[in-house]
Amino acid sequence: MHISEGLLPAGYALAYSAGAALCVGKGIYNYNRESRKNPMYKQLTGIFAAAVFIISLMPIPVPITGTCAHPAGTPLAAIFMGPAVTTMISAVSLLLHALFLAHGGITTLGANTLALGVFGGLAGWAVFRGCRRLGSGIFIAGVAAGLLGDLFVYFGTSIQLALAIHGDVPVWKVFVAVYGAFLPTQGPLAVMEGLLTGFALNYIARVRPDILYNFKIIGEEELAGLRGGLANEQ
Amino acid sequence: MNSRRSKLIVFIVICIFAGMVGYTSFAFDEVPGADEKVGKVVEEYAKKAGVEEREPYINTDKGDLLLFLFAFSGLVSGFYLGYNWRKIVAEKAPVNRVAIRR
Repeated sequence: MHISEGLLPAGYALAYSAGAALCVGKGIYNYNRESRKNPMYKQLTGIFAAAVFIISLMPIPVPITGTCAHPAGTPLAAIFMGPAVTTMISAVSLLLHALFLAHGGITTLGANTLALGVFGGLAGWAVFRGCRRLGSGIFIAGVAAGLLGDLFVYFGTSIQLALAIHGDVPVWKVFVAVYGAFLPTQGPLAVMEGLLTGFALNYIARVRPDILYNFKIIGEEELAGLRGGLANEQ
Repeated sequence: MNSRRSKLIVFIVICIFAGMVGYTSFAFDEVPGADEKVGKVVEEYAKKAGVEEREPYINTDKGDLLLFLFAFSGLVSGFYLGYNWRKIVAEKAPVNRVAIRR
């Protein structure tokens, strides 16, 4: 999803950067507010920033297509930190990618931040909350959030590119061509990201259910149930 | 989930990854990044729109320099993640501490 340096016309690059800057601003505000309330917030933000930085850079080979791609990591981060703070985390990670790792670019930083943080984070967060409201368990909701959040990152990149470089060709045609090129590699990785998100949530629910409670992922009743399970295990 | 089950899951995950990497390296001569593959599609439209990909401002894609930076950033992130994760999950684990939501 790293749109390379120079690939966006100046007007679009500026528009995407302005959109991303607004979301990052909201993320900084939320981060300051929440870290005053919750002492663990800063530490977990650091953990998720490191995780997103490395996960969104790690090329994983997909044997079906013979290509490599990377997961996003932002759906899991957004479930804990919320989509705005996830966008802030994404911006920092992508800036480091662009500066030192020849991935993405400075002029495309806004577009990449929107795709990774806003599209991926918001979709993951919304799908997780939606699934939970419909009564699904943490694992299933996590799998759905990871899977769809990952696919939405590439949906975001494709729509941004289609809007910016379609020229005389209809936007939808460019979108289908770009997203269609991403999907064979990204589909299997999205399944993997879904499972990773589900297992990570399940693991935290097992060893530190209070973290899920403090981050409003589970309610009091569910916490009591998880604590009961933990006490029985011990 | 007991410790034996956790170890079994880790073992299975490692086997799956090893299988994926092994199969891919045998089955394909080149394993490009998806961005590269998609780049060919994008390039076509980008040219028509009058823009093209250019080198990064700081170009570290110079042989082993990029390899070093990938390995180094993985190392630093991995240590940071592991250290803090252990602090939160293992050292501060409140066996039955009542959490307070603020």
